[in-house]
Amino acid sequence: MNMKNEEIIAKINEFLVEEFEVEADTITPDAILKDTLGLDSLDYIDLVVVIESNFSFKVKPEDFVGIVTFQNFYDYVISKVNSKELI
Amino acid sequence: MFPIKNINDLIPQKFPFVMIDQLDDSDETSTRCSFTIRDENIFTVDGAFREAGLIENIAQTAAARVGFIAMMEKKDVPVGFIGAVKNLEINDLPKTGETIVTEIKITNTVFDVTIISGTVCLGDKIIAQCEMKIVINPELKAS
Repeated sequence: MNMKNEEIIAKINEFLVEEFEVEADTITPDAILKDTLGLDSLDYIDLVVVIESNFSFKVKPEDFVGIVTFQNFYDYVISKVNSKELI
Repeated sequence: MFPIKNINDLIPQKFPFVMIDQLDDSDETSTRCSFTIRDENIFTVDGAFREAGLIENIAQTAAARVGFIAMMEKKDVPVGFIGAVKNLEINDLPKTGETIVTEIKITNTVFDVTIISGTVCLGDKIIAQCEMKIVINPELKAS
């Protein structure tokens, strides 16, 4: 069964709160992903791991180009889930 | 093939910074090394092998895996770096004369970063464990 976009976003927010130990209300579509989650370069590895394990598609380094806000990130994950580019 | 005792052929670290004695086993997903604590070791203080030594021991076990693969492929041993240590737990410090057995398991590989989980055992007891991100630089070879 295909996940609805709202379900995907809810799932993303859930694992971001858990993995990066941030308050749920700091995650808003326009917030800056890197700043809000406090990501350094190696933290992106954790982000890739949770994406791949939760959504079963393979992330490429170049995929992060252009992902600045949470909305960008949601759009990316939703497009990959919908394109069924599975591992 | 195992154990491999010429550990200097497998890892880039040199004396006095070698924290594994031999490679006991290695397969696709896990690698195991052993190490006997000596009083003259730079991480041995008052007869106990300190926390930094245990972390380095886990990292060098991961390095031995990479070196073993390189040896099998007849390639130079690449140099790797500890990128991050996570969920570190140290329950005990091994004493001089005791032998620890360290096992690392590959949990994920993302881009050029290998994520491992490592456990250090003294007998049946896990005395240390952590997750580690290791960055391999394929361009940098051990001299």
